[in-house]
Amino acid sequence: MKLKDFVFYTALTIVLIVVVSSIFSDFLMLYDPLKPDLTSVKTPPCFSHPMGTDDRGRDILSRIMAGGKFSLSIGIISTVCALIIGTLLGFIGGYFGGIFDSILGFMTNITFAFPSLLLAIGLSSIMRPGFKSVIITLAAISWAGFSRLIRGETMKYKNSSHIEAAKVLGANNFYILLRHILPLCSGIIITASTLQIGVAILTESSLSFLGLGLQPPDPTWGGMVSQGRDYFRSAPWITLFPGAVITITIICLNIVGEQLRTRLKRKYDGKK
Amino acid sequence: MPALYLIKKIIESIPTLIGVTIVTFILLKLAPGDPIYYLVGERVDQTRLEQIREKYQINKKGLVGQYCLYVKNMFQGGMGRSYITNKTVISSLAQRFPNTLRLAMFSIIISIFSGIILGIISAYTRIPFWDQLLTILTTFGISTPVFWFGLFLIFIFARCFNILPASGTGEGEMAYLILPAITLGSRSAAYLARMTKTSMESVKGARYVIAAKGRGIHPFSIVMRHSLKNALIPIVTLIGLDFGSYLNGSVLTETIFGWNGVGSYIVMAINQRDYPVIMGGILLGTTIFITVNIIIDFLYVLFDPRIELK
Repeated sequence: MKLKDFVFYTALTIVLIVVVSSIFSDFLMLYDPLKPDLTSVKTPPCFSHPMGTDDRGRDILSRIMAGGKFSLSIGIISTVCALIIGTLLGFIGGYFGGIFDSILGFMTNITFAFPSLLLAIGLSSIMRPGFKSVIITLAAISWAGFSRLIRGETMKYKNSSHIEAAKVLGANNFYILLRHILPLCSGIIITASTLQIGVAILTESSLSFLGLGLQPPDPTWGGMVSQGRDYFRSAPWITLFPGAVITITIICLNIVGEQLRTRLKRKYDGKK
Repeated sequence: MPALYLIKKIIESIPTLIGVTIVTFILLKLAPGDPIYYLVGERVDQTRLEQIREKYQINKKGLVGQYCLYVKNMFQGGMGRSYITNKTVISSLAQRFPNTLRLAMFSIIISIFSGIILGIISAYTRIPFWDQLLTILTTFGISTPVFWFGLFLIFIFARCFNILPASGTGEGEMAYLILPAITLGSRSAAYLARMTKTSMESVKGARYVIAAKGRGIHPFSIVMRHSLKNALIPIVTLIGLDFGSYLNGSVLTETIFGWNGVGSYIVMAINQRDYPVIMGGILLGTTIFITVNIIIDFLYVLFDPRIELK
């Protein structure tokens, strides 16, 4: 096995571990992530609390698992929303062109003109902070990337001969987009989505850190880092462990995404 | 000719700017709470409320009219007033901007030096495992959340070794600047190193490099004066993008280090639900972002005269 494969499979395994332990967190957690335990406040990492406890005596590891459920589902759901919006608009702009394309271009330009975190702050600050507001915010700042990508791909394929053939056979536009162009874009969609999930988790944790994400007592990774800041001198583990988990998860997602990209590219190039 | 090009670029960016103001206007409209109440308090009788509405011309026009008022206000009244301090948003932002600028300058200098030097070293030397090391470093730089990295630096340098202050702006001392600048600069240093490496490798075997070698020019001089200058375009683009985003107040870094800049001001406004300040900050940030991009376009010509301004 080559080094690259080793890194890829390690990253994939870590992502799977994080995903599985978040999904089954209800069974795996040793402690209640929400219930304060004032007998063990700010315990340093030890055998019974591998990552220590926070200022209310809650086990950090259990809270990270419970928070993973929120962080990952926010990352995935918002990416899927952005993907659906972006693909739809990208198809319309790329396939039909004309006025649709101009409007779409204008909209993407504006979305890209904003520094993304600032736009996220603006959007989420006008909503009541919670699960829904974070997803809407993340989808609203990331649809443009998908739509630009899909638009380009659609324009690349729309004049190719197999599409022409389908048209001659009497296929309507909807059918062509769904059955002929979408499968061609699937590789790029999978890659971009993997990378986008990482970005979404990072942005979500930044928003939670600023107090614009999920509200306490629900644990999120970013929120935990923020919450531990006040006790940073006396109990640094409250911030350091959740942050490390964010970093590791995102690194692994990035590695998986990059590798998928090169693998898919090799596959397509090989076919040619 | 360059002046014409500049004008053209500015005209081109106007529709985008209008779109941006429309977005901030809509956000401001959607924001909960009636701004009038912030002005007079909640216990006010209806007639007085109507009088004030009349005075500020809120009822008179439709949505389009209100938008025009908003834009007019932006130019004349300094983007409206803060609900909390009642100062104009622009004056509060301008007061904090020098701090943000100082931090942005220092971090971009750090990232330019470290990024370009790392990139050049990895393009030209054959140190074993250097490539892997650089990949690991850049992957970390791209994936680590800024706020966590900042806290990590505080943990090491302020808590363990106690050699640098953990937070605050200070009174212009360098010591306060170092940790936030490293936090802010690390990410773009990672990107820059990667970009410099690929860019330098692409000009490595060019004919003018071989010609320069043939003339007996010192290798160091070839790298710095011939190769780097030709590889500079993508590097400059990246630096411009990062500098543009630093200038609109790096919200997270400034919050962690208690840096008294535009970014931490916006966060304060979020906590107080001070919407004019939030939207004003976003608008200012986006305008700066667009402006820096225009300047970058202009810089290309300076570095590479072959590029024609159209």
